[in-house]
Amino acid sequence: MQRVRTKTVAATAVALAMLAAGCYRDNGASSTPAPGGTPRKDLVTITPAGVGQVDSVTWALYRGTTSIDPITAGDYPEITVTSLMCESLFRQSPDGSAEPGLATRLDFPDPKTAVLTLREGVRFWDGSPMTADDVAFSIERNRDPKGGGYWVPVLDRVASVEASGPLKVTLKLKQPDYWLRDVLSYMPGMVVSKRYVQAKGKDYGTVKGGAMCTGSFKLGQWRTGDVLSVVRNDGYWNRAESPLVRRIDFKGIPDEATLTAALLTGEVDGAYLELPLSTMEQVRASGTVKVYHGPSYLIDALIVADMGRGPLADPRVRRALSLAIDREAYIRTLYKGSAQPARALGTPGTWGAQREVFQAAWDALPAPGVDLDGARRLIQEAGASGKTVRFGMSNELNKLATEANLVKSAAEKIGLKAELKAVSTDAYSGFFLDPKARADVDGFFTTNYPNWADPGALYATLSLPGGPQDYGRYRNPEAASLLRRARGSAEARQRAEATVGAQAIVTKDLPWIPIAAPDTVLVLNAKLTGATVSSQHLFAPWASKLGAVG
Amino acid sequence: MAAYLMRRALMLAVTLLVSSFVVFAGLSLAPGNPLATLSGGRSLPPESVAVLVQRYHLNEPFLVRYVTWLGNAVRGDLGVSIILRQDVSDLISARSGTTIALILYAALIVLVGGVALGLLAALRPGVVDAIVVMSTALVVAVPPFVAAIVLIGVFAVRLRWLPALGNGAGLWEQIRHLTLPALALAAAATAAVARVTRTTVREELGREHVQTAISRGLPYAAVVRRHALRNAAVPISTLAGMTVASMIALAAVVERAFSLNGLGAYLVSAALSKDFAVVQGISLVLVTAFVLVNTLVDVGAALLDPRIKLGGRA
Repeated sequence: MQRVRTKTVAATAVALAMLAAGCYRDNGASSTPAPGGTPRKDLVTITPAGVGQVDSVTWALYRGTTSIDPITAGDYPEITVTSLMCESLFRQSPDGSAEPGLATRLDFPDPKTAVLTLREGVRFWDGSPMTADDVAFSIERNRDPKGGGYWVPVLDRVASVEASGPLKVTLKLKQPDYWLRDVLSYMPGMVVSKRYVQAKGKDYGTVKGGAMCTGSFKLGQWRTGDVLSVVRNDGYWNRAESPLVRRIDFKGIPDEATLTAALLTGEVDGAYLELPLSTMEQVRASGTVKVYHGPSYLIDALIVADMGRGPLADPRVRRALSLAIDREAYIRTLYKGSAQPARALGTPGTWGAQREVFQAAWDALPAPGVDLDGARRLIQEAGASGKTVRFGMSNELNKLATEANLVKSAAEKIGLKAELKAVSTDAYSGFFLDPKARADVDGFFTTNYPNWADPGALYATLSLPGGPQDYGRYRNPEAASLLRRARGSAEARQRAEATVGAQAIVTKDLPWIPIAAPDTVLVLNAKLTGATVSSQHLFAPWASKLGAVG
Repeated sequence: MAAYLMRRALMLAVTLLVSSFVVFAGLSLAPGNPLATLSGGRSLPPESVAVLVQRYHLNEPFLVRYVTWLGNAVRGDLGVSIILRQDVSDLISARSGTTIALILYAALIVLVGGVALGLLAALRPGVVDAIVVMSTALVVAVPPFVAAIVLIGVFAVRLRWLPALGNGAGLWEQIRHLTLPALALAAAATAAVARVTRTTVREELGREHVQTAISRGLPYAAVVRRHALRNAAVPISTLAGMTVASMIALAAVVERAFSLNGLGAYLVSAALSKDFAVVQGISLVLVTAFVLVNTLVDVGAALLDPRIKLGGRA
């Protein structure tokens, strides 16, 4: 669910890596984001499927991959690679909907029991069949607090996991959990070989231990700091989805100028740009690569550091600040148009199911326009004129610096005093991890996302007491109970309705102030096609159709 | 001479001990928390945190950790990388080849290119001299990261003569891949060495014993070689040696710019991700290399110039 820090880290390191000022698609230089963000037509979720076989492709990440163990794969360089090799029980498709994966069904014989029916004939890379034992073991690894895995909190409603038949796994639940299918549609649902993991112990997922999964690519050469190769698994259980690319070499390229040069010379064939690239105009102008934009789960937001302290404790001040932020300017400056102003944290890219419900709720939310007069009135009502708000930021990251200065000027325009507390990128992650660091500021910035296409997955992390992103101690019993109800409802429609109910409250209370929803940006060599262009590339195989242009 | 070398060796050991402490202490005092790295920045249940703290000895007192670390380091065990869960010594040895090759390549360019340009300018007053003086004045002010951007832009992106990134496989490919990085690293230093060579050779050429040799009709080339260049060798080699030592640090910038898998680039990324053991290990190796190169330069200068006193406060 959360993805906090990735954000941070991503913000952090990535930042170093790629951010800077973004620039985007020059389809007329004015891909004006639809005001208030109706889903845009210029977004694609997949590029046309590849036709020809390709020997090898070089793919850039913002840094080298450090782990390919799903339990500790949390940031872009890990998940982009791991999701090519390891398959999860359910699979996120490019448009966000969940499909069967290594499991074909998830049934709930009673609200506190979930039964997974596994696909027959699935084999690991070494040819051994995937059994119910492997699946139960993989889920248990993710649940084990001593395992050092990242996904313990998302499986907190699971009481026990048991292989109950050759192709059946039964999960006993502490409370009904109808998000389970989605939880099992990314890293926590990835299946590894029990025998292999037990043989490798702590080395599993490292250079020493390697990996053993079921995916269409298997681990090839891995020299840390240099290259991690995945090679086509010719014994893949699903013949129909055998990849066209024989080998993908992943390289960590932290430097923007280097990445640009490598893309322009064809030394690197493709990359997902999680943060804006300042050299984008140069990349676009080149005939060597094409730039694609797709929907994403991402949201840029300001997190209120403490809902009970400082000027931002007053909802009117939060609302006023939100009204004063010039989102269009932010998108123009940083993303050069490839983002849209956000009405809420759960943006259109995250509507994987029940779209009509979310669309109607979205349309009912006020469009985020600048209203300085209204904002000033709110500040005066709240008696906050002249009070000081402090925002945590880091000058090392262009994105954070741009965002922070924009919010600072918004605050000053409406009669607040604003200060920026600049820290190193390392210290910046402290705002997410350390309440003491948060005590020093009134707000800080995040790029966040739910781990599957459901706005509720994001709202729950910040609205439930003790949730993984409960930074500012936002307490609204009604929102919390709606989100619990969403998770506990068997009917998809009821889940969506409870979620939009919570969304309305969270969007009014503004524990986080949504700013903009960036697109997924894919840069791909013009000779290649077939990669997906949505946040799906973080969670599911995104290169099955990648191949040469016909 | 033996006593001099002994003294230098002792100083070397003391310097290394002090710097190892500074390296270790500096990192321990730096802000940031390895737990953040270990947890991927997520909030973890307390029992998970306890497991991690214990596994990486994060709760032991500072001096205990320092002594353990130093003791292990002396035996070649620099600990285990938190991020990659590999031995730091392995990680370092896998990357040191790139850095050593890069620095040697750059040093070669500095020495050959710098001395040649300097001699050319010294012996050909007029247009050639003016061109060398002006161009080196410009290049000497170009830091490696700027040189890297310019070289990539011209030779990799525009002309496509040389690759923009990576290490390459096979000797020839490796040389091709290292050429732009080595040039970027060597550019400013080459210019500096050229300027010093020009000045000192000019100066030597104007001195009495050289003028005497010339007026006696000795072949000009021999005079330049034996009397001018030889006397100019001490300042040139001292400057070149210091430059090479400074490249040990500058290599980080160049490696990063060219995505080379070297020690410097790894130091930067390890520092960013708070991979303590790696940062300490690489810092120790780099400091050792730096001190060693400087010692070698001093010893070399002493060998070249017998006037340098070997005794006393050498």
